[in-house]
This record gives sequence, structure tokens and C-alpha cells, in this order.
Amino acid sequence: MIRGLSSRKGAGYSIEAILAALILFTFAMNAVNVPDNDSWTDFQREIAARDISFVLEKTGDLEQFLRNSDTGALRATATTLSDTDVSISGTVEDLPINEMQIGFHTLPEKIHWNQTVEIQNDDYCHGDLEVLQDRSETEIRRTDNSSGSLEDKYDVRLYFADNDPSIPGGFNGETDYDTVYVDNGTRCIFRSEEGPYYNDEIFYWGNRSDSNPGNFFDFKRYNDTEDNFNVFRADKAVRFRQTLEKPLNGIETDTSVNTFNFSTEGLSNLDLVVFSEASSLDRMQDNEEAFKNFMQDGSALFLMNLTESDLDHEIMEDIGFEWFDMPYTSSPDQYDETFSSYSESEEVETYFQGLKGDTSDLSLTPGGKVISAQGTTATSREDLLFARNTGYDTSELDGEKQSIDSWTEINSGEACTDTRATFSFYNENHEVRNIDLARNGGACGEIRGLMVEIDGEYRGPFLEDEVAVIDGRRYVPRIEGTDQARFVFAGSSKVELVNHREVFEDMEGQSIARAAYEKKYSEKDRELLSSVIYWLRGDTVQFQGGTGATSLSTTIPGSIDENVYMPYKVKLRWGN
Amino acid sequence: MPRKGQISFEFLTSMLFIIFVITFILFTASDQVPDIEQNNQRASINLEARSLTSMMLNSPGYHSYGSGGMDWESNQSSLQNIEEIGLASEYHVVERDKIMNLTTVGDEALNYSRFRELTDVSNQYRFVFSAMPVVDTSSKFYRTEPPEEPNIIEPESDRYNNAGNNVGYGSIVMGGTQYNVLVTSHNGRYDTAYMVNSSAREWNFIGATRYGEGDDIDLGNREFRVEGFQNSGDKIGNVVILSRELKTFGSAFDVDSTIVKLNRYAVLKQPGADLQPLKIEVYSWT
Repeated sequence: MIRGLSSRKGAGYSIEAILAALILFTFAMNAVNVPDNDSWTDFQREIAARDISFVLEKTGDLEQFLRNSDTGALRATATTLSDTDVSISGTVEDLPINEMQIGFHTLPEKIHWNQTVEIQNDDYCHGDLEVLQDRSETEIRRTDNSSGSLEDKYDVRLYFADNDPSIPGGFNGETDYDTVYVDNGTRCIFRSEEGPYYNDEIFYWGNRSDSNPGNFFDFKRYNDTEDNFNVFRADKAVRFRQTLEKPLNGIETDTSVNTFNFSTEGLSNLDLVVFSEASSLDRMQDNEEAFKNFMQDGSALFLMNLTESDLDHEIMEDIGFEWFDMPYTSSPDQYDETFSSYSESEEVETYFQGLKGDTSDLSLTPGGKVISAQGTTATSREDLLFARNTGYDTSELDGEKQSIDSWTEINSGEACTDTRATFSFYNENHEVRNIDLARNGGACGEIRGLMVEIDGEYRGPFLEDEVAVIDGRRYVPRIEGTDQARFVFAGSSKVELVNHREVFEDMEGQSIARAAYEKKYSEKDRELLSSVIYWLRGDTVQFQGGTGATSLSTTIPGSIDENVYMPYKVKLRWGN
Repeated sequence: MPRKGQISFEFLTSMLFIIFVITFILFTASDQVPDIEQNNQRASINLEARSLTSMMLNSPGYHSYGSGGMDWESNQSSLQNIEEIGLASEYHVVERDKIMNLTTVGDEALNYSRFRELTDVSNQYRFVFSAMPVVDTSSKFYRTEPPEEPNIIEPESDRYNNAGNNVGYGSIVMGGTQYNVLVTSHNGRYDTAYMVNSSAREWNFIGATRYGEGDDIDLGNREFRVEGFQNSGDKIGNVVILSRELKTFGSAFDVDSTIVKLNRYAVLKQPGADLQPLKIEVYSWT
């Protein structure tokens, strides 16, 4: 018995010793851990990264890179300065320096197929096309000038070559005419503005000196089987390009334009699409899936005068623009365009000022009684641009007791009187209770509220000046007694000149804006619409630099102050 | 009744085991001692280097000559009466004259011995100051179609004729003189710069010397090195980075010591030139 106890005691010593040793060992090993070299390397890298971030901003080099919309120069300079193998990625916030490829939708009547023919012996340029021929893999062809052709219309001949521009200095061995030269009145001498133009490039077809001016066309493709070629009219695209090429607050924005329809390839390569004229809604509707797929990553600008029935298109219902069928308070000859205090409107205004725009020069019209219906209610005040000198007369929207109904007491026998009546809210009826909130004989009539029945439930009571949302509109009660009360419409009555949606009713995507259509916008209106385009594209740019692990971040605040003060923030991630 | 104080076999085994573990730990820890010491040394060097350089880049320094002042580099008298060391005219903006008035030995400028006394540092230092101007060459034209404003006359050489179609151009002011630059690409990479003195040749690049990465360029009797061209991002050829070593200051390297290198950066301010990045390579050892 005693021997057994002693044995267990010995085992206890052993267990205690092992535990004590383990504890000692653990503490000791932790205590003698030596930081590795990497922690000091990180220390040195962090100091260098913070210094470089400051230096690039202070020297003005960063501002110059951003004015060129060139994050590559930022990366190259920071990497070269830091004489170690760093990979730099990051974001630039609050500057419109995103690369932007804009596609202008083209209606069928502005899309042309014309024939080409071989060079004829009696052509006026026969024998004078060696320069073109030397660069071409195949025989030069020219446009056919038969009656009704575009050459016949503009009296200017196009020449087609196979230059394979995608392969520098080389041919691909295939016949694929991909190059256009325009013999623009200089007769067989091709200046730089006469070509070469490649696929998806825009050229001027016509003689500028003629009384019959030409038009701009986007060279889409050449059909080798049929020997015909496809061009899209691109006048509106070119006019917008001229505006978009102007520096925005000293920033050379990175935009390019071309044309498209839903049959052309590469829709997903575009960042923003512009639809002109309400008739393009039918095309959009017919290609609803393609449009919605594009909108997942892209944005759209509609330049359309709309009617109420245009908004019946399913695609427009999915977007969420609404018709606001109220009369105008006045019909000015010229609308007084005004930006609002809404933050998105302020951003558009900043871009507009960056383009040296002045609202007094604008001549945009509403182009239909369309409201954005963007925000928590259909008539919220989130508007990009509105007309200050007119508005919607919204008195019809007020909620009033139906004339055939009368106030009925609903709590007879109580100290204070509550009543009810049926109200009409712009053709929608709701029961309204006019409640005395005092519930005390001595204070009756001092404070009253209105309750409104919505979907079988009473909401409220709403006191005077307290906002109630009824049928998607904002109202405030006006209560003058037990038998005198109404709901006054308290939503926006502004006439919007540019509608927008960032959240859609029944689709997903980026942003859409709409403005009135004009065949030829004034330069100032184009500046405004270009500002909307920049806003649609967004003001955050991400750039990547290598695949190294990121261990360090720096932030550089700065500003560009030319036509307008434009603060920005550059966030850099420094990887190995 | 059990006897007290007896030593059992299990007790002895446990004692021996404990002694073995403690001995093992002591041996292991003693192996780590040099590492700990080295790390402490590295920490000390890094921290002092950062502290010293931050002070140099954040303050202008001070001299007590006459009524005193921050322009300690202005003359011999102020140099002899430096109270505080600093190179900056404002936060991280360094004046070239202050850098040029540092000398490793000699009394005509602030020498290294005096520098150590004033800064009261415990480690040895060697500084290499290099200006790294960035030339903006983002303006572009198609080769053989130069702009009229500025009136660029292109180089006449096979190398230029075989370059890519997009030619970048820009200029930089050095020592009050503007130098005009063309950059060209070959095989899709920008790798060649042509540089002329604007006052002598304006934008005429006929016969201009061409430079590649790593080549030395003489700009107004100052020798620069072509550090690199921009070849990353969607747009390339928008930047050429040059470098020029302005000054080496400090002790000779001790080959037996562990040398820590810390790079600091500031803005170089000098008359007749744009603000430029300044790289300061700081070598330190005990």
C-alpha cells in the first residue's frame, strides 16, 4: 500500500518536472527571439516611400503626371528614384483621368455600305499611287463613283490599302483591306490629314473648301468577298471629340471616340455609350440584353427628347426615369441653367468650370417632362442641372379631401375631437384621420396630426411640417382644424435639364444621364454634356504595377488649381 | 511511519531532467546572444540615421556669427560659427548651397569632424547626395512630321530614322539654361534621348548626340547620367529621369563593420533650375 503511494508520488515528480521544463523552455525561447533583417528592411523602405511620395508632390512632377492622365510616369519615376525592386500600384481619387473610350450609337440610316473597284487605267490618279501601293500588301482599290454612292455625293475618292497596322512593319499574308486614304481635293497627293486611317478611325469625307461640305465617317470594316466597305456617320462624335480633347482644368484627359451599333464587335471595350434621338430607344429595346450587359461596367448618356409614351419602353421602366405630367409655372424663351447643391451636381459643375464653361452661355432645354426619380422618393432634390426660371406647378399633387366627402367625427363622447375623410392624392385615394394629440379637455385643439391609410395600415400621426411619403411623393400636413386639413406636396418641383440615375429600378449597372437632343449642340452645351460624360465615367483611377506583395501604403494629397480648384488624393501601395 | 527527507529514484530523475533542460536553454540562448547584439546594433544605427537625417532635412541649421542666422553656408565666418546643422529651407526642401558647403576634410567648409561634434552622433556616416531631375517628354509628334511650334528639326541618322513613330519632346532648365530633349523608341521601348542647348541651337537636333540608359550627358559642364525612360503604363515615353552626384560627404567605409544603408529623399532647391528630387544615400556603421 505504502509502496504504491510512493510510486505515484514519483510519477508526480516526473510530471511536475516535465511541465516546469516545458514552461521554462517556452518562456526562454520566446525571450530570445531575435527580429530578422526584414523588419529593418521594411523600416528603411517605409522611410523611403514616405519621402518619395512627398518629393513627387512637392517638385510638381506628380501634378504634371496627373495633368497628362499618366499614372505610368508616376510609377516609373517612383521606381527609378527608389533604386530597389519595388512595384507600385494605387489609386488616384477625385480627378477625371480615367482612360475613356466613348461609343456613339449610330442609327441604320447613318450606316452605309459602298462598293469598291480596281484602279482603272483612265483614273485621274492612275500611275500616281506608288506611295500608297508600296505600303500595301495587295492592289490598291478605290471607291465606286456610281450614282447614289457617297463618292458621287461628296465628289471625293477613297483609296483602300492592306497595311496591317497591327503588325508593325509587316504583313499577315491575308487580303484584309484595313486602311483608307482620302483624296481630299489635292488630287493624288496624300497629306497627313488624308490618311492613312485604319479600322475604327474617323475621317472627313469631303472637300472643306466646297460649298457642299462633307461629313465625318468612322471606317468600320471592309468585306473582301463583296468588295464593299462599311462606314458610320460620325459628325456628332467628332464634335464631342473636339470638346473632350480640350484640357479640363489643365488636365489632358484620356478620351477617344468612335461609333457603334449593336451589331458591331467590341461593345464591351467601350466605357461609355451615347444614344442620340428617341428613335434609338427601339434599338436599345431590341438589344436589351446586350445593353444591360454593357451597363454592368459601363455608363450611358441619352441625348433624347422624350414623350410620355417613350417612357413606356420596358428598358426605360427598368432604368427608372419618370414622366412628371405637371404644367410649367412659366414658359421661358431661354432656360436659366443652374447647378444644385447636390454633391453630384457640384462635381459636374467643377468639371464644367474646368472646361471654362459658363452657365449663362448654355441653351439646353428640358426635352420632355422627365424627372430622374433618383433618390429616396420620386421627386427628391437630387438633380444635376435644373432651370431656375421655371418649375412644375405641383398644386395638383396636393392631397385634399374629396369634394363629395365630408369630415366625420370618429370619437364622439371623448374630450377632444378626431375626424376622418377620404383624400385624393393625384387620382389615388387614401383615408386620412385628423387626430387631436392633446387627449385632454383643457388642451384640445392645441396640437393636431394627420394619419394616412396606406395599404390597409394607418401611418402617422404626422405633425405640421413633418414629411410623410405617400405614393412615392413627399408631403407635409397643413391642419387648420377638425374639418380643415390637407397634405401639401413637398417634393421637388424643379424642371431638370439633365436627368440621371445611379441606381436603377430593375437592372444593375453604373450610371445613366439624359439631356435634350439637338442636331447640333452649341460649343457651350457640348462642354456641359462633356462634363456630364466625365461625371458618368467617375473620378477614381486604379493602376497596377507588378504582382509583388504589398506591405506599405502612402497617401499624397494634392490639388490642381487652374480654372477651378480641384483637390485630389493619390494612394500608393508599395510592394516588393 | 514513513521516513522524512529520503531521496527517491524518481525525484533524482526529475531533478536531472530539469537540470538538462535548463542547461539546454542556456546553451541555446547563448548562441543567440551575438544575434541579439547585432540586432541591437542594427536598430541603433537605423534609428540614429533616421533621426539625424530627419533633423538635417527638416531644419535649416543655425550660426551665431554676427546677429546669427540660418544661412550658415554663406561665408567663412558663419561656417566657423555653426551651432546647429540643417540643410532645409523648408520641410524636406534642401538648398544646394548648403550641400555644397559640406566637406569631408578641410576648413573651407563644414567638415565631417565638426559635423560629428555638432550632431553628437555615435555612429559613422557617409552621405551621397544626388540630384535626380525628371524631364517631361509627354508632348508627342509623329516622326518625320515635327511640329512648327516649337520648330523641331529632327536628327538625321539611321538610328533616328529607324525609331518608332511617336517621338516625345520636352525641356529642362539647368543652371539657368534650357535644354531641349527628344526621346525615341526602338522595338516598342523608349531608349534614346537627343539633347541640345536651347540658347545655342533651339530645337535643331541635327547632329545632336544621342544617349541611352546609363550614358553620361554634359549639361552646362555638369555631368548627368540617364537613369531611365518611362516604359510602363498605357502611355510610354513621357518621362526621362537623369541623375547627377552632387556631393559625397563623410567617413571612408570601414570594411570590417556592418554597414546599414538608408535612402532619404528631399526636394533640391537651387537658383536657375526647377525643383528636383534629391536622393540622399546614407551609409552608417559603428
